[in-house]
Amino acid sequence: MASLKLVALLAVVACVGTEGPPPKGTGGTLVISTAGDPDLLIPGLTSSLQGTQITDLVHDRLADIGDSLNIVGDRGFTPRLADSWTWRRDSLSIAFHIDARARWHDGQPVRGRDVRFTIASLKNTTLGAGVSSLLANIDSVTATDSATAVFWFRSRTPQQFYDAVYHAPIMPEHIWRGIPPSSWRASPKARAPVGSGRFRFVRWAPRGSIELAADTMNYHGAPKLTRIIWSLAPDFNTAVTRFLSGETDLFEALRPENVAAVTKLPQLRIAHTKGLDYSFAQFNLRDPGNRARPHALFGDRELRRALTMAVNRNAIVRSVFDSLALPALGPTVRTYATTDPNLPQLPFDLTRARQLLDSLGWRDAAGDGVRERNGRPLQFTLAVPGSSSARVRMAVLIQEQLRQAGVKVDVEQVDFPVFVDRMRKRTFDVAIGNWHTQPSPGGVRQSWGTLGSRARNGSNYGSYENPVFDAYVDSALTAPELSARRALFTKAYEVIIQDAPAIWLAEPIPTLGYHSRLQLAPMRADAWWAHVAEWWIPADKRIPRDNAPVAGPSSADTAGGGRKAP
Amino acid sequence: MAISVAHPTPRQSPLGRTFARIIERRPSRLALGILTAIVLVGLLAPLIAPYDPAAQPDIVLMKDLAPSPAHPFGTDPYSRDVLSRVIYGARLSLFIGLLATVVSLTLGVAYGAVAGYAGGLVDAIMMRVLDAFLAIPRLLLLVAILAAWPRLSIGALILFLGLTGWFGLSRIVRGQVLALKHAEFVTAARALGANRRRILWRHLLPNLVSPIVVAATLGVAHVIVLEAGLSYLGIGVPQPEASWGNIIRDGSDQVATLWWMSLFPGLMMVLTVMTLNVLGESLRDAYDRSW
Amino acid sequence: MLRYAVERVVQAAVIVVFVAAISFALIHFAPGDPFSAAIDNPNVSDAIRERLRVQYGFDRPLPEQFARYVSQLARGELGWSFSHDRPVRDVLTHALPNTLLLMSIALIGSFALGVLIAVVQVSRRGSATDHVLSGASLLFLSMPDFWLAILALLAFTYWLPIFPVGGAVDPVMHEYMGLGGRILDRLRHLLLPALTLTLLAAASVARYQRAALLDVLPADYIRTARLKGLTERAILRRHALRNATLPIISLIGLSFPALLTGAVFIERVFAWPGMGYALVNAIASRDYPLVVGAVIIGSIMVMAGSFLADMLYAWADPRLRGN
Repeated sequence: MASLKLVALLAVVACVGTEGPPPKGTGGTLVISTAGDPDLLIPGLTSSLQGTQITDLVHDRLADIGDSLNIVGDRGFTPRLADSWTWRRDSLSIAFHIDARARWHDGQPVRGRDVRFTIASLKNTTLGAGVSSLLANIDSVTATDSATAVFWFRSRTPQQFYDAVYHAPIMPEHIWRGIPPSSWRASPKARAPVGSGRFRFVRWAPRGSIELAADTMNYHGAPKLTRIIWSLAPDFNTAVTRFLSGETDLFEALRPENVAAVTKLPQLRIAHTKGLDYSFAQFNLRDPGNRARPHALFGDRELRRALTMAVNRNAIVRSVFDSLALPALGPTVRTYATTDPNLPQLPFDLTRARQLLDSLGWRDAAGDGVRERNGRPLQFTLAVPGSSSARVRMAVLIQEQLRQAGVKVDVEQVDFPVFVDRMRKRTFDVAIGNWHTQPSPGGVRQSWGTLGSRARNGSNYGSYENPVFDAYVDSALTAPELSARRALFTKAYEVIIQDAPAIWLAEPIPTLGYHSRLQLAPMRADAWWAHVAEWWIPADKRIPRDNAPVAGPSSADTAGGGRKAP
Repeated sequence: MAISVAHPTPRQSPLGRTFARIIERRPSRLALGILTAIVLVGLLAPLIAPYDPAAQPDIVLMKDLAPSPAHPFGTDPYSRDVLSRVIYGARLSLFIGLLATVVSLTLGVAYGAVAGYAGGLVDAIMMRVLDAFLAIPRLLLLVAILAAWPRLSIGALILFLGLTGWFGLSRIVRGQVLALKHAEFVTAARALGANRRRILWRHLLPNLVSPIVVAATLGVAHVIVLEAGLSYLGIGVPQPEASWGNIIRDGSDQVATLWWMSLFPGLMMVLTVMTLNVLGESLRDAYDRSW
Repeated sequence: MLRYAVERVVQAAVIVVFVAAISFALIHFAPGDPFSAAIDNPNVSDAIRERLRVQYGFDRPLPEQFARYVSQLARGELGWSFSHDRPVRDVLTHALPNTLLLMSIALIGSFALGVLIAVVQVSRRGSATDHVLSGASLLFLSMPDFWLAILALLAFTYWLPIFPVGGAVDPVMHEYMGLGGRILDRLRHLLLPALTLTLLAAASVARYQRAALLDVLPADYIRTARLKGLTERAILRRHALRNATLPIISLIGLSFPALLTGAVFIERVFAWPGMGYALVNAIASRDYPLVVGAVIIGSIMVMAGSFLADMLYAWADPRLRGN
C-alpha cells in the first residue's frame, strides 16, 4: 500500500512542467532496459551493443540498407545522408552527393570532407577500428567539392556499394580534427557524440542512463518519439526486472525463463527478429605458447572430430535456449539467403567418438576416467566470458558431456575484456566464442579464413587454415548470381564442418519484450532499432515520463547558433 | 579480553572438563547433535547422496525442476540434483573450514607464543605487524589476494583462508604466554631446574587448549561463511565442484524462479554456522566459569 | 588524552604504510602482473599510459617503485581504473558517500535496536521472550550477509513487489523529479538494503550488550539500589545501562569490519552503487587498481572507525580520562 501511494506522489511530481500535446501519431518516451554501460560512443570503434545502437541513431550513413538485407549492388539501399549517387563507368568509383539540408547537431553543415575524414580515420591503423579490415576494398575517398564525396575502390565486387556505406556512419570532421587518433577513445568527445541523425545526444550518466532526444529540425524530419532513454542496469537480472515491473518499455535480450514471466503479464508483448549471431566452441589449432607449432591436441583433425561427435549440440541448445535458438549450422546464420539450412553435420555419436579416441591412442589406462596418450592426459581448458550466462552454461554442459567420453575439461570463467584479450593473443585451448555477423556472409574470410589467421589483427583466433575453404569463399563472394553464390558457400561450409575447427553451438533467435503501448515499425534483422524513429506511443497510453519536458538545448546547440528548418 | 590464569587441576584434562560442561546444557547438547549429524552427512556423502552431484542426467527435460519427491531440493540449470550437491557441499565446506582453521591455529599459536615468549622489542614489532593485519578486513584482504590469482585450486583457497585467519588467536595466545611466563608455578618449575621447552610443553599448552578450542569452533564457522561469500562472488570454489556458496551462485542469475537454489544451501549453512556458534559460546562460557 | 591520540595517529599511519606494502606486494608478485593489462589496453590513451609509467615507474628498481607508490598514495593517487576509464580516486569518491550512508544508518539502527533487545531480554531474564530473542539474534548472527540479502530481495521485490530491484535512484525519472520526489525516491531505494544491514549488525550488538548488562547487574551498587527498593526496570535504566555504555563504545569500534564486509555483499545483491559494489565489479573485470584502491580505503575506514571509538572510550572512561 505504502508503495502505491509513493508511486502516485511521484507521478504528480513528474507531471509538473508538461508541454502542450504533440501532434497526433507522434510522441512518447521509449525507455530501454539494458545491462551495463557502453564502452564509448564512436561509430566503428564501439564494441558494445548499446554503443552501436546509440551511435547508429545519432549518426547517419550515406545510404541505408533495406529490410531484406540485400547487399548486392545498390538496389536494396535507400538514400540517407547522400540524396543521390553516380557510378563511374568502370564501376571502380562511386560519387555520393550529400543532402544539402543535412546539418550536424551543432548546426554545422555536413560536407564531403566529413565523409573523407570518416573513412580515412576508420582505415587508420593507429585508431584500431574493428571495421578497418572491412574497408579494405576502399582505396580512398576524395571530396571534390563541399557536397560530393567520391569513393575509389581497389576491385569490382558485387557488394562494393555495401562495403562503402554500411560499415561507416559519417562523423563530423570539425569535432575530431586536431585530436590524434591514439587519444580518441579516451577523449571526452567519445562519450558525447555529435552526429546528423534524427536523434541527438543529450546526456550519459554513467551506470545510470543515457538519453537521446528528437532532433526536431532534422533534414529527414523529426522522429515520432520525443526521447529515447537507455536505463543502464548493473546486471542482467535488474535489467529484466525493471522491464517486467514497467519501469522500462523494452528489453532486447529475453532468456527462455523470462519469456514465461512476460507472457503472464497482459501489457507486455514479445517480438522475434531474424538473428545474425552464432556461437561455437573454438579449438586453437596452434600451440598457445608458440604459434609456429601446432597445438599438442587440436592440431589433430581427427581428435577435433571425435570431440565434436561426443557433444550433444541439440540437447545443449535446447537446454540453454529452449526454443529461442537453433543449433548452429557452421560459421554462418540462416538469415543469409546464401545459407542452405540442411547443411550436413558431424553427428552426435558417443560410441563412435569413443572408438575414434581409442583408435587415436587416447586410452584410459590409469582407470581414473581420463584418457591419456604417452603419459599426457586428454585434458584442456575451456575459456568462457563469465558475463554471458548462456555461454557459461554451455561450457559446463560440454564439460560434463566430454567427461562421459573420458576427456577432462577445466572451465575457466574470465571477464569479457580478458576473454577478448586472450582470443586476440591466441593464448587459449578452447574458447566459447560468439560472432555477431554483418549482413554479408563474406565475414567468414576474416573469422575463419587464412586471411584472418595470418593478419596481425586477424580475427580467426583458432588459426584454422584450409586453402580449399578459402577458394570456395572467394569464388562465392565474386559470383554475381544468388544460386551460384549459394552453391559455392555450401561447398565452403561443408569443408569447414568436416574439418571441425570448432564445435558449432547455437544460433540464437533475438527475442525482445516490449510494452503494448508502443506502436512499432518493422524491425530489421541486423538492427531492430533501425526504424525506431517511426515508433510512437498513443496519447491515451502515455504515462508521466512520456510528457516530462525534454532537456533544454544542449550547450553544443547554443554554441552552434541557430539552425534553419529544413 | 581479560584472561585469568590459574594452575589447572592436575588429573582431569581441560578438554574433558569443558566437554562435560557442554553436555550439561540442553542447547549445546542439541547443537552438538545437529553438528555431528551434519559432519556425518558430509563424511558419508557418497553413500547418502541420491545422485552424482556432477551428473547431468537430462539437460533438457530435467533442468530447473522445482522441489519434488524425486528431487527434494529441486534441480539446477544443468539438471543436477540440488540435494546431492548440498550434501557434497557439506563435505567440501566443512573440509575447507576445518583445514583452513588448522592452518590458522598453527600460525596463530606459533606467532603468539613466539611473541609472548620473546618479549621486549621482538614482541613490540610483532604486535605492530599484527595490528596492521587486523586493520584490514579479512574479506577485503582475501578479495585482493584471490582477484590477483585467478583460477586457484581448492588447496590454495584453503591456504589463503588459513593465512588470513590467525591474527585474533595469536593475540590471545600471546596474552596467555605473557601471563604464564610470570605465573608462580612456572617460576617455581624453573627454580626446580626444569628446562624451558619442558615448561612450555607441560604447563603452557594445557592452558592454551581451551582458547584454542573456542577459536577453532568459531573459526570453522567463520571460514564456512567466508568461503560461501567468496564462491558467491565467483572467486571461490570452481565448477563443477559443489560448495554451498557455489550452488547459490549457480542460481543467482535467476533468483526469483530458482528460489530453491538459494534457499536450501543457505539453510544448511545457517544451521551449521549456528550450531558451531552455540558450541563455541558454550565452550567459552564453560572455560570462563572453570577458573 | 592528547598524547594518547597522537600515539594512535602515528600508529595508524604506520599501519597504512604497511597496508600499502601488502597491496604493493600483491600487485607485483601476482602472476600475469595485473597492471600489464593496462599497458596494451586500446582504451588507454598515451597520456594516461605515460602517467601510469611515471606513477609506478615500471622500469625502475623495486624499492624505488614502492617509494613512488607510497608517495602517490599519500597524495591520494590510487591509480587508473580501466573498467571505469577514470582515476580510481574519482570512482571511489563517487561511491563512498553511498557506502557511508548505508553503513551509518545501519550503525545507528543496529545499536538502537540491539541495545533495546538486550534491555528487554535482561529485564525479562529467563522468560520465553528472552529465549526467543536470544534464538533470533543467534540466527541473524549465523546468517551469511549475502544470503539474507537474497532472501530480502526475493521477498520484497519479487514475491511482494513493494521495493525497487536495485540502484540508489530511479535511473530514468529521477532527473525529472522535484526535490520532494527525489528524496522519496532515494528513501524507497535505501530502505531495503539499509534494513538488511541493520538486522545483521543488530544481532551481534544485542548478544554482546546482553552479556555486558548481565556482567554489571551483580555489582555492589546495583545491589544497593535494589535494597533501596528501586524497581528492576529503574535499576536497568539508571545504573546498569549507564555502566554498560563503555562496552558499547568499544563494540562500535569493533563493528566496523563486519559492517563494511556486510556492505560489500549487500551492495552487490541490491546493486547499491557504493564502494563494495565497485569492488565486486572490479573483481569481475580484473580491474586490479580499483580492487586495491577499495581495499586500501576500506582498511582506512575500519581504522578510522576504531580510532574514533578509542577516543570516545578514552573520553568516556573516567579512569583513562585522568591520564
